[in-house]
Formats: sequence, structure tokens, C-alpha cells
Amino acid sequence: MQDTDNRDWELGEKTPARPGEWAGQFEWVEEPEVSPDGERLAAVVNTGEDGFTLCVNGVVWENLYERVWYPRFAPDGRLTALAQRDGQSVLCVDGEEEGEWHDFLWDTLFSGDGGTIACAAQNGGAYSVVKDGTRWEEEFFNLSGLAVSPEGSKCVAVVQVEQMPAGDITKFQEGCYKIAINGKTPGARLLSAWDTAFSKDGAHAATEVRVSPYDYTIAVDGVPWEKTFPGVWRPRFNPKTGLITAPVKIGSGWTLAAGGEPLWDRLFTQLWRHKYSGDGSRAAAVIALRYGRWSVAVDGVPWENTYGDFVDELALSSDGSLVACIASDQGRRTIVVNDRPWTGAYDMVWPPVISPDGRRVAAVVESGGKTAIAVDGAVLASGFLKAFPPVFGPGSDRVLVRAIHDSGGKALYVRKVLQLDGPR
Amino acid sequence: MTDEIGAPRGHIKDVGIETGAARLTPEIIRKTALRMLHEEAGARLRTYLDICVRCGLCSNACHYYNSMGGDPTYSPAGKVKETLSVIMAKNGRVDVEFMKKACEIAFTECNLCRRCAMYCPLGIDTATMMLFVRRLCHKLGMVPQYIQDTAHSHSATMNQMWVKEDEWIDSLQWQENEAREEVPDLRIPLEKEGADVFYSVIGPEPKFRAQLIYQAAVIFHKAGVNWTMPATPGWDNSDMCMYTGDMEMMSRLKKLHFETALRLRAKRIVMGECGHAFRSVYDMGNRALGWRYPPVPVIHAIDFFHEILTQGKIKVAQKYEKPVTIHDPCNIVRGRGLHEKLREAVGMLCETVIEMEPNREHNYCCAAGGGVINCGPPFKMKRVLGARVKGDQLMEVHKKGGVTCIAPCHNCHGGLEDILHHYKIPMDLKFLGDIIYQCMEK
Repeated sequence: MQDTDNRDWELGEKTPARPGEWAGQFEWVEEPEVSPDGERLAAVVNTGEDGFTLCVNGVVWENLYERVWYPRFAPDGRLTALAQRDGQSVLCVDGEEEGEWHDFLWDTLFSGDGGTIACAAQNGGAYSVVKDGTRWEEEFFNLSGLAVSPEGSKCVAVVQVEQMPAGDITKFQEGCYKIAINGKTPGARLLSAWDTAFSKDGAHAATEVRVSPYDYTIAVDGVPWEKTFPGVWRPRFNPKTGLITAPVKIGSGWTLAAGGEPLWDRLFTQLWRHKYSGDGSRAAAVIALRYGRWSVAVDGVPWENTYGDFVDELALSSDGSLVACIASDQGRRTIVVNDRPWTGAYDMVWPPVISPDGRRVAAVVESGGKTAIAVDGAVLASGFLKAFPPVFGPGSDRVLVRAIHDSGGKALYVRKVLQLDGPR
Repeated sequence: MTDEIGAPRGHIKDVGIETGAARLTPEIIRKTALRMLHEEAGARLRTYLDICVRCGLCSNACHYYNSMGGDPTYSPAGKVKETLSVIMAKNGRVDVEFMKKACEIAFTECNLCRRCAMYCPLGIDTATMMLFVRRLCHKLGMVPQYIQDTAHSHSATMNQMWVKEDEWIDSLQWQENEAREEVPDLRIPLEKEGADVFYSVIGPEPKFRAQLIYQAAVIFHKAGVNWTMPATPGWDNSDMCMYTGDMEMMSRLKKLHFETALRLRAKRIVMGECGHAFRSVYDMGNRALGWRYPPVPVIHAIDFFHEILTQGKIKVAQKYEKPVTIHDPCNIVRGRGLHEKLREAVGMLCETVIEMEPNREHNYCCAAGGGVINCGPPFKMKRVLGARVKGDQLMEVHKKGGVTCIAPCHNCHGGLEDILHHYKIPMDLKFLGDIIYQCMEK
């Protein structure tokens, strides 16, 4: 979790960076990233003959590389990027190289508080994971689907444990993949595996897996449920009870199942991307109520409104009383809160952000090439070239706006703390 | 049946079919077929079988039938009669040898091109029935080896060519480096949020035809397109699972593709020059998941190239001088109606166009589509012989002075290469992107 209490919540505006002025200093400036507290703006810059580096609030990192890519701020504010030179990769953290160089690094991930940083790694055609600068001792023929547990103790990935001769369809169907947990592969051989979810304490991992050409299920710490289905989607843990649930296909419809048995009492045309409230009291999922009509079901009960294009990015308040999502109908996107769509519709909408008290919803929205921050359906700040996700203050009465706007033809990064109207 | 013209039908040994058949018994076939007939056949399939009046109009619509000397067993109705009609009439009481033959017919003697459906006075879609037979074969574990291996790659890596996650990123960065030799400020923007265009390609592009990514990057750059490509799985829009009848994996592939575009908040998906992938993303995969239309607008490269050419975002420095012909890929012509935009784009780029006859939505398939070329070397000769009429078309164009065939589809390229080689037609092949890259102001 990000600690928002220690940020500067004083009302007002700062201009920590003037990216418009960077353009004149470098060959080019790539897409900016912003720190969680909004105090720093960073972008990969091409310095010309000397190579690439990161520019942070106008100050460049000391080291230059042939390539710098995938800049990402960790939740604790550390700035990471992947750098390459002479066909080798290294992870950089706040301008310092962390750990060894590798043949290739990618997919930088963080624990919930940012204390753990992990990457997928390839060396000499062997695949592994680098966690906080230390590589797993175990190596594999391939690796995908890396995930880091919330508290940072575990890294899980789908790994290929046996080499397959080209075109050996029998060998594939015998199972050449396993779930690796911190490099160990205690579970079953699988045909394939995909997304992993962790329990709140990070003690257990659940992964959607394929155990035969026709059977899919959930593997818990690498061990598949006995019950299989013709289809499953990504599982989740109930944060309170630890119960593992997953969308499963039964007959021609989908429902939510726990431990292999249906949890909800009805089938939907589609069901996926379910989430729990922080207290575990409610579960919501994206559903297709019927062919081509999308909505949300909360504890198995569908909303009344449906949307033709899609519903996505569910978010639930801590107590589950507020459920928000993005919905799109006839190409126009909006935010829907507890089955009520905002009146405004936009060209693009970013995921809804719920206030700590669970009463407000904010989102980045885009219309006519300009982005804005909207709160509870009303535009709070607008006219930006680019806006980053808004952040609510600890009291839910203030919003941190992080955005870039055009100031006399030059891009200017602003950090604003705005007061919201009285309690809703 | 047609050995006299060289197609070794029924004599081809395929590892996937043979090993699958070795595990089968008539009882397994019957149970599996009955379950599928009960759960998946539906009214449409039964109606198709009931209303076919054996008029034979589909026969002359089929390139296999025409290429195989009018052998009626290669006619669409004939292929149904030899496969699904029997399975349904006998309630699945067919033997292993029957299923091996049905598997070979469904996978290697029908390109699912839907030309016959256009000529059928009753609108019967033979492709739907052949897909049903393929799905039954998938359920029986009897699928030609090469295409099954490709489907396995989709399952393990979420792309068609066993491309590992790092290899994908490395390929893009390599192409970006190469392109910067020519256009120093060129970028292939990875993981860029909010771009106007999410550009997706098929697995063979990073594996075998990386220059197409290079060329696309140059075109996007010069056109000033705000675009991105993902650094995660979900980049591959292709789908051989759709053609093996593994609809569960087809759904998973399309879900990831759309989720990746949605995650990056892309305004629309532009797909590279591939036909079957377009069918999967625009038609079959989205609907299998419950989306009536793709959740993110999808356009094929032809549509996109036409757009940037007509908007003047790409300027033609010098038209392509060699006389060209246009091959119409089935999935974007009969499947999407892009034939006129394709011609308008070619007209803006090339001096002389010599049409094949028939053309546009009446085109003949290259015989590679529908996953047939993906069934691999064992069936190559049958495929090439089944495309004789396409060879005849190309030869006619060559006699009229045609030099280059523009085919905006990967599998068409593979099929046409084999046809040109086998029938000794001295023409070269290009993607539309090849022509744009060659002719544009840079």
C-alpha cells in the first residue's frame, strides 16, 4: 500500500518540472512517468551521440546507455529503469545499477509497498528471476507470467521445465511447464499456465492452468484443483477468508466458483476480472448478461444497466459499498458507480480511483485530445496534454492532480492539491 | 481418388492424425460426436444439412474442385457429404478410418474461404460445417501435427511461433535500431499509454519477417501516427486455435489481445497484413467471448494504409513502375469488403494494375488459408495442386505483362510463393507495406 499520509497535502500548485524545456536539450524526450507523490517527473531522453538516460525534474542520471526503457516508479517512490549496453541489460534504481548485468531483463514488478523489485531475466538462453538484485539459483527453458506477492516475499512465474523437440505434440501434451515459487517447482506438470494471484499475506499463490488439451483449473501453490472446467479465468483470494475463487465455465455459461464448486447460483454469458472489497465482504465481476451486453454482478446479482462495447477496470471500496468501473457503449466511455453511469461520456477513460472513505470516485478522462480529472462525474481540472491518475488525500477531501499542460507552447508539469466540496 | 493428377489423397501420413487415431475407438468417436452434436451443433448446422438440394452450384465456386479436374468429392457439398452428413446421419457411429479421412478433408481440402457460400442459392456456409468437423477432430485428439504444434505454441506463449517474452521485446528493439540507421529519430514506442494506434502483428513477423515491423515503423513515423506496441504477451493477433477447433484457446488468445489494447488505453487496434488474424479478432474470437463487436475498434492494415494515403499523411515519391496484380485475401475481402480500398491504395502507389479474373469478392483463395498451409509439409503438394486455378490466374497476368503480385496477407504469401514456384510463374510477391515503404517519401 502506498503511504499517502506523508505527502504534501497543502492546497496549492507546484511546478516540479518543465518538460517543454527538456525538448531543446535532448534529441528527444520519451513518455513521462510521475512519482506517486507527484514531486518528480521522469522521462527517458536521448542525449545524442552519448546515448540514453533518464531525466528527472530536469536533472539527468549520471550514466548513459545504448538504450534505457521501461521507466517505472515503485510505490515507495524509487525510480527504476532497464538499461542496455553491449547486448547486456541491467536494472537501474534511482540512477544506480542494481545487481549484475544480464543478457536480457524485462517486466519490472514491485511488491505492494515497493520494497521488493523483481525482473524476469535471460542469460545464455536460460530463464530466471532477479529479485532485489539476486538471481534465482534455478534456471528454466522459458519463463513467463511473473508475479510478486503483496508483501514481497515471493516471486512466482510459469516456467518450462523440459525441453521439447520441435513439433513434438505428444511431449507438449504430457506437460512441460510448472509453477515456480521463488525458483522451486513443487507442483504438477502442466500444459500451460497464465495469471497468478496471491493471498493477502503472500503465503499462497493461485494460478489459472491447463492440465489437458480440454481441461482447465486453478493451481494453488502449483497444485491443481481436482475439479476441472472447459475454461477458467484469473483467480482471486478473498482478503478476509483466504477463499480462492475463479470464474469457471460450466456448460455454456460462466459463474464464480470456490474450491472447484460454484459459488454464485447463476450462469452468465461471460464472467471475468472479479475483485473483492478490502474487507472481503463483497465480490464483484465483469459479466456479459447476454450476448453483446456487458455489466457488473455484485455477489452474483447483476446491475440493471448494460453496455454494448465493454465493461472493465472494476474497483471496490474497502467496505464494498461502492463499486465502480469503466463502461463503454457505442464508442463512448464513462465511469459507472453502483450501476449509475456518470452523465459525461469521453473518448477515453482511465481506471476509477476510490477515495479512502469509499464515497468518492475520480478518474482521468479524455475528450478531443485533452485530458481532465473528473470527480464524481464533474470535471475538477481540465485542459491537460496528459494527466496521471488522481490520488485522494487521507481525509478524502483533497485530490492530488498530476498533469502536464501547455504553457505558452511549452509543456509544463504541475502538481496541484485541490479541495473538494463538502462531504457527500 | 485424384491420384492421376498427383494429389495423394488418403495416402498422406501425418503424425498428428496417426497418433490421434491410434488412441481412438468407435465408441470414443460416437460418444464425443454425440456430445458435440447435442451441445454444439445447433439449428444452423442441422438446417444447412437439411436444406442442401445438391444443386452443385457450390462446386464451381471451389478452387479445389476446379483445380482437381472437377472431381465431385472435392466439391463443397461433396466434402460435407463425406464428413458431417455421415456423422450426423449415423449419430456418430463411424469408425476410425472414416474419421481419419474426415480429418484430412476438413483440415486440408477446405480453406474455409466462404466462396462457396456466396454462390449457394440457399446461403449454406460450408466453412461452418468444416469447422465443426475440425472441432470434433480436436475433441478426439486427432489434428495434423504442424498446426497442432502451432496451437500448442499459442497455449504456452500466447503467440504462434514459440516467441519468448524477451525475444519479442528484443526483436522490436533490434528493428528500431536497424530503422534508426535510416531514420535517426524513429521510435517503436513500447507500452505507451493512450496512443491512437495499438499495432498488433502475427507471430511470424518477429520470427521470420522482422523487416515488416521495420517498414511499418517507418510508415507510422513518417505519417506522424501516435502509436504503440506492447512489451507483454497479447501482441500476437494470429490464431491457429481458431482453425484447429480449439475454441477455448481461441477465446483466451483474443481476450489477452483485447485486454492488452484496453490496458494501454489505445483508441483503436491496427492489425498488420494478415487475413486469418483479422477473421479471428474482428469476427470469431470477439463473438466467442460475448462481444458483439470488438471492444476496441479494429482495422486491418489495408484500411489504415488507405486512410493515411488518402489523408496525405504519406506522400508517394515515385510510383511503383512494374505492372502489378492484386490478390484479394478471402478474410478481408469476403470477410470485410476491403477490396475497393485495396485497389484505391494500390492505384495511388502503382503505375499499372493488371487484374486477375475473377477478382474482388469473387477471388480464388490461395489454398493456404484456413490453416491449410499450417498443416505443413505433408500436405504441401495437395495444397499446391488444389490451387491450380490460382496458378492459372497468375499465369494469365504474367502473360499480360504482370511482374509483381501484391498480397496483403501472410498466409497468402506462403501459399502464393509455393504456387509461383510450382507452376513456374516468374512473378514476385509483395505486401502492400513493401510497396508503400519502397515508394513513399522518406
